[in-house]
Amino acid sequence: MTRRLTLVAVVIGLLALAGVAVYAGGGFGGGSSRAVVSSGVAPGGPGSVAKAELLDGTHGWALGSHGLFWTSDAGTSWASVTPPSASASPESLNGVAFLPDGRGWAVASESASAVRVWRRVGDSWTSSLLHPPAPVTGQYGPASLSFVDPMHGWIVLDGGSHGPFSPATLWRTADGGASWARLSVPGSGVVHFVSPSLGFLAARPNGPRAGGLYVTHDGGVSWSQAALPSSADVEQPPSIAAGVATVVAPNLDRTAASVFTSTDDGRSWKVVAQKPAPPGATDLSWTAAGSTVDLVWSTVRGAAVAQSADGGRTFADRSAGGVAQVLSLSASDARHVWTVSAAGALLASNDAGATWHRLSVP
Amino acid sequence: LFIRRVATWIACVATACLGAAALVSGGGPLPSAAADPVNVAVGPQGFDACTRPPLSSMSTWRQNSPYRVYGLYIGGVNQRCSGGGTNDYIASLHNQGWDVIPIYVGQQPPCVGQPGLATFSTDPTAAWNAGVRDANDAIAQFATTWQLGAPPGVIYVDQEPFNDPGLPNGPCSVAAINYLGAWTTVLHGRGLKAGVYGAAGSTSRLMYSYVSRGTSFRAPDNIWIASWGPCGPGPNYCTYLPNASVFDGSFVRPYVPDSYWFYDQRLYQYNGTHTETWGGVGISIDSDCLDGQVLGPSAPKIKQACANPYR
Repeated sequence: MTRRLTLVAVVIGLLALAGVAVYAGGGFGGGSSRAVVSSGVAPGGPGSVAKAELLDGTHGWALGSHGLFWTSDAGTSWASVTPPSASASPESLNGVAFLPDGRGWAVASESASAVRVWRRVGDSWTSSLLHPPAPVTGQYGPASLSFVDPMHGWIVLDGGSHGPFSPATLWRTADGGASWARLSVPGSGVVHFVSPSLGFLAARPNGPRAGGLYVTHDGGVSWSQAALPSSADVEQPPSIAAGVATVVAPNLDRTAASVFTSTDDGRSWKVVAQKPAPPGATDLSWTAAGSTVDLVWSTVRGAAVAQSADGGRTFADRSAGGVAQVLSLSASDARHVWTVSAAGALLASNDAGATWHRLSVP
Repeated sequence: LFIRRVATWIACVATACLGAAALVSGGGPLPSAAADPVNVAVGPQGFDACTRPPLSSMSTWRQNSPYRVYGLYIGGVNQRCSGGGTNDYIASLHNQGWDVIPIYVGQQPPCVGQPGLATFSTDPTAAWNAGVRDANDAIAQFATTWQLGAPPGVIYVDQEPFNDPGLPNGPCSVAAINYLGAWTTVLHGRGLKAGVYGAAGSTSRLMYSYVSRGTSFRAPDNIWIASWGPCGPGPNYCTYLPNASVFDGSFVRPYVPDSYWFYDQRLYQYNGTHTETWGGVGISIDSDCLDGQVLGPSAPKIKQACANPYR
């Protein structure tokens, strides 16, 4: 999951550096009106930033080895918002999500049979305990959080993924996190809700249950596997724009990427195009908005970028911009971008990646 | 190392180790003089991955990572990973210098913790028959996958954590031990070595219980113990542990004492799924400390990736 976020970050970062307008709505990064999605906290060394998200032009959060921090001035100053249970061990946070108004949620491992869900309103955190089934071999994995508004949110908690198994539990709140109801879910993965009823899950294989894209139309009560027209390794939920859901996924041998779209809330899908992968491709990241679809293949030697302006039907290769070793990145719009380097530094750009400056996170 | 090995076996004979080992392959008490292991890794470790990494990634990891063994999923009713691979893929892995752990994800105990898995019956005979069926299917998958002129090999069957308050004598445990006994019996009958992957607190502890009591249970040649915890308080700091040991004092020894499967017969999965990046390439993996049988390019081989003071 961390790898997926990293690659998404690379996508946005590379495109930003190339001066490309990056759509950031509905998925990773985005403006104040978008849904919030966050999942899996990346590891970080002492004194380093592990993960950060820019929510709009001024508000954002960063998680580092010294805690969780919030900024209201685009990173000029930071205030600690570390949930109490994680003050001594920020790495115990399984997942984090914030809205631009400062409301936040965090999931922290509490014990071998419980996780604590924190919610931040105003300047204070309150919490409740969830009791999922004990993780199969001792540890809960990452949590993927998705909030469509201050009231409606979901958590997919990894129950200890290993090998071909990715047990998980799904939790839903309709009161901002004051209470949570447990629902079933096909497996662990990255969740993204578009509305209180429509949601998507990019799931890992879970025993006999196939991985891939799942969709719910009843708020997560029931899930069905999306019938994609061809085999693909879906690792990221769709982006939604103007009623069109777009998913890009590599085929199983990583020789090409397929672009799938749906105009009926994920009930049916069609293949728009296939884009061959560059030699040595290892993984794919993508972003889509309206008719613009951007792909970044991660390769052993760096990255390969392609962009489509016609909904993924045709692609033009682009320069990777020389960016490498980006750990994660988020964009509130095409101009405002944050990136976390592999060295643990948080960098910001206010000009679509033309220039960067380092933000000093405590 | 040779001297230490000879000394170990001399001591072993002196304490009837071989006599016990003859009853149940894989077990036997250790000489007390050797009961103070030094937990230091001495070589490359292994990993297994549900999503089959591209060969380019494997090549990068071969050059830059501390791993040299790849756990490859070859089939089974509960397996949906993309790790099956083609002959070309496997041949390329070997050419890159990787050894392989073939993993078969068969039916699970009826009291397995995770819902939704295909399970065998609590009836002992039915469980035995399920083990026979899965073993034969694994061999078929193995032959189909390999076709590389590699005759005798080793296959590990994946058994997930189960909850049986009556362990080791509850109906679920008895069924599980029958399934596993059939697994080993069939593989041995076909000239293969048998391995069993299982959680420390359930499958591994169960097999130890039956071996230690001198039952007729036909123990596997290799045991792959899953027990996480050394990687930190949360899920986000799991990483490569150079000093991992198949005799980990906190996470292995309480379930399987050092004196069982001690002589190059253990693998230890110390981390669940997490992403590691080596040479700029990230792969989602489980981490494995190895001191047991894996499969080389043309034959099974002992992989001594972690220090074993008993050899």
